[in-house]
Amino acid sequence: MLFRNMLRNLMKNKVQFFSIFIMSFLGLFVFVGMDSEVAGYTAAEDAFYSKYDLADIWVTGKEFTSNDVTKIQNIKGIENAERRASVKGKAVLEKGEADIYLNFIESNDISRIGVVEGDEYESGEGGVWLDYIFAEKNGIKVGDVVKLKYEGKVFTEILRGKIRHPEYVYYLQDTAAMMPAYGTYGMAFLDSSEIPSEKIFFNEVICDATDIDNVNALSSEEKAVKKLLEGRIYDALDTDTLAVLGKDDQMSYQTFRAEMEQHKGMSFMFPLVFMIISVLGIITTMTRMTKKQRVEIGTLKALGFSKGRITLHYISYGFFLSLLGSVLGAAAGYKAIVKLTLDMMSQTYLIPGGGGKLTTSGIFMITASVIVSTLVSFLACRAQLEPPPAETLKPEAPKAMKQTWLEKSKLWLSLNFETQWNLRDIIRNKVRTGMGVVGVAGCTMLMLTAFGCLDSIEFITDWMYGELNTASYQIIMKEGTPYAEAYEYARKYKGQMMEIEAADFEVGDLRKSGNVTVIEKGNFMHFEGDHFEHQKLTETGIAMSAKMADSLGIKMGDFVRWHLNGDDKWQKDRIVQIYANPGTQGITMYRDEYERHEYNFRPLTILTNIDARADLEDDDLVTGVQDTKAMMASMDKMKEMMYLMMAIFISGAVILGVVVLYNQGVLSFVEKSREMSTLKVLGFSTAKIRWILQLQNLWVTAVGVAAGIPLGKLLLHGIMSDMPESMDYREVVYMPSYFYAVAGTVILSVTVSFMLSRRVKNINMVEALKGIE
Amino acid sequence: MSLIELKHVSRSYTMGDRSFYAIKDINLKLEEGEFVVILGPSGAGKSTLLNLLGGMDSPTEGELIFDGKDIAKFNDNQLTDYRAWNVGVVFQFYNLIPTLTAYENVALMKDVRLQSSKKSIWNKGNIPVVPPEEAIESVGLKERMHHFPSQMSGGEQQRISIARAIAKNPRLLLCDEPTGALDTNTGAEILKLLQDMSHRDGRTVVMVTHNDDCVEIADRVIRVKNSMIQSDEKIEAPKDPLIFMDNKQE
Repeated sequence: MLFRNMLRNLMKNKVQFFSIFIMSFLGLFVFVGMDSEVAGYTAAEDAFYSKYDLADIWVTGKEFTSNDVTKIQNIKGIENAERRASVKGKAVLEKGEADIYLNFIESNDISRIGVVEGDEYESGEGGVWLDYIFAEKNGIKVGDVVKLKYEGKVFTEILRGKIRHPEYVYYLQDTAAMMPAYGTYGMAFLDSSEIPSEKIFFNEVICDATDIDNVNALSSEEKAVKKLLEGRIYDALDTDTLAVLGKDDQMSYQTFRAEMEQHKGMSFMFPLVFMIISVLGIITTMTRMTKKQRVEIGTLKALGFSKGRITLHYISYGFFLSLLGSVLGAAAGYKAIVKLTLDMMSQTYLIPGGGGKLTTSGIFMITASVIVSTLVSFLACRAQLEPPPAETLKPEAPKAMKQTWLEKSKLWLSLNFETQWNLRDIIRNKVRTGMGVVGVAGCTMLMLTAFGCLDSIEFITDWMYGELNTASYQIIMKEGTPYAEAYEYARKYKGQMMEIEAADFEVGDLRKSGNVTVIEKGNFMHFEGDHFEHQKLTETGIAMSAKMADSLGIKMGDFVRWHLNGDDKWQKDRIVQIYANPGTQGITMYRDEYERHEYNFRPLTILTNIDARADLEDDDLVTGVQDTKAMMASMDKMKEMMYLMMAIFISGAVILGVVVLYNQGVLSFVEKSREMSTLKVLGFSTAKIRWILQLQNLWVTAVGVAAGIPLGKLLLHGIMSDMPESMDYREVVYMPSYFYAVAGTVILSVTVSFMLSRRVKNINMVEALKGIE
Repeated sequence: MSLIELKHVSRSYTMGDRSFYAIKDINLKLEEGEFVVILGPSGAGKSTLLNLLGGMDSPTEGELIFDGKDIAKFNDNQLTDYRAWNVGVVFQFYNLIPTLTAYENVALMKDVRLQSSKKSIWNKGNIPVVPPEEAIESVGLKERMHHFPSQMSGGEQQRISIARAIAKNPRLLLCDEPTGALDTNTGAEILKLLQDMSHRDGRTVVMVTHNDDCVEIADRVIRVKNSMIQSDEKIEAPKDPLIFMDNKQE
């Protein structure tokens, strides 16, 4: 019978209880949704990397002989090694040329090709195996003839298969690009016998290590193993002109991992907000209900119900609501979020599978949510359940009212009636008010984050291509172009020369991969400090990007050791300047400084404002001409993903705001209905009473909004800084976004408050006053 | 043997640094099947006495023997068990659960019994629960069984409250101003029901009131004043409440 009683009470107080339900629902919706998405993708990633045996170590250098490969194979701890030539070429299509990463291989035992359609690769066989998205988007079918171009030589191959590859889960067109746009460029694998040049330079050796796991991120033991093997490789080949990289240095691997970590982070952040609201909701609702049902509790006790049985009855509200909310939320999140993210993710990450996978943490969170809610219900009811029935049968003695310091002050007397009324109400109902503030703050936070995400992406695009690099075009020279030739192109197109080299940076035991950027004096590359202040690149010394300095834990004035990949020298320099750059992390210096380090300036990029695309189409020395506008367009894709995230955030904000404010309003209305009817009896107009109610809501909104803005910026910072190490994305919120977030919250709050205060009209003075016994 | 015996029972309360007696040194024996009325002005200690008899509160001094057991020494759980098996309570404001129908309110008593039936010291296998339908029928409200309290008049609610009390088949029925919120005629009907519970069914009914008219219908009248028993008198020929109230009105 008490169960029926509970059901009817739930119906009677549906708004409050629904808010508890919906918060549990939303919390678990996001958590289980994202958690299963991450788990599903991690499983898919593990399966993909295991199936195709992702390499553990990449050795890059100028040229590796078969003897070198044997030497590496013989190293203790190396299971297998194979070499390949990885170069950049072109696919010649009807509509023009497209960049292609060409990989000429001898065998296919490590980082194996995953054939989606077509034949398996056999060593020594002709033909090309092409990125399946590239093939599909360009209408190339298995068996078709594909025209490829390398070092100016065009050669044809038959498409043997459409493929995926464990090293190409995420890849960009070049270092200047910030987002993938698969289909406009691609990757291909061919047998080494197919290379059109007379001489082939195998510039990469990939290795399988015995003690490095294929799937998981490197553990500290594995990092030690990698370091040990790195030393052994250097010793075996007796040269320093190479770089030894691990999975953590691989963009494809690392970017996907960082994305997963970001999702994981978000999966915790949201439920926390909803859980806090839910707990506050339970506290207020259950306290109010048990207070109201005090005599009922006394009656049940007098009738012979045990304290345990009554306690069980009251905690079952929190228990059933959170159980129902959590389980349904988990189920809905598992279905909806997994589907939503799957669509989004599959455009960015070329990993087969994905989809949801329930984990024990999902079940743990459901359990935790239920336990917390039940416990909070218990704590909220305890006060009414403790005293003996003789006491509980009597209405509660009014709470002893004490004047607060504010009420004793002179200031108090100068306040008008509605201010005094509302201040007193807030002081005496701190939890209820707190719930309102938290709800409003959460609402503003989510809205600000939503708009801020879009602002930040726009800002980064403008920052990167509008402020830091103002060239409209980039001419990319062929690998090995002599300086004199590059200089001629720069002169002809009024360009600024730039060299970008992959490099390692070391501080103590910490080593990070990045780039060394060397520039000639010119007008296209600009620099800004960590706080976007314009600065001139130092002419004497090296400047380091803020994110790299941060990753290495150093600051201006500290030393860093650095080393170009494929070079035998290690340099040690003091950082004399810190600059910020969203896309490339490492160090930057002028050509003179570079040459002082005894390097030859070999610029392969020329920044220019002259459109030389037509001119240079068939130029043998030019790999391609990139259009900045096209690169900016690739950022639009990121914006599309952001729209989805914004929609989720804003929906969350609206639900949170409406539910919390409505709940808070109903609670305060019910608690104050007696006072309000008294005011009505005394002759206060309905409008005046409504204004009193709305005023408090405005205060709560103001405080909530004020708290929500910094919280929103914090959340945005969290999202933006959870990017791969190569990206330095900054959170930016433009003035209109502040306005939208604040206005959105205020409109929501005022609407809810207006709707609620309409109830004042319907207060029945006689009925409300009759309730007093 | 008496059903219940109070030996030097006192109940004191402390408020701040001041303590006072709600009842002081009460000695009393109540017999099986007696209809006892406790009379007295507000604040005399009537309700405290009723609370102590019903195990809703414990005395600070003295012994309270029910069926040979001193319930003054009982802890919370033992008192709950005592109430569940022996005591029916009828309140001034009925105290029905507003979210349960009349039938459900009465049927609650089954739950009360079930919660402790195995380990209860009072479970001698001979105190069956009265089926809810039967209990409701006995108060004449069979046709209103599935109504909510808010759909019933005060008198009807009080009848349901009595049905709820007797559903447990208690040996002791305690009534706290059961007619306090009712008009005279309805009050008389309720009193008749209570008298029947005692005279017809053999239960001990203790009724607290400050209505002097009730003196005529009881078997025994105990007057309480200033926390103590002022008088304790037997009524030789208790009157029928319906006839008595009728005559009085005329």
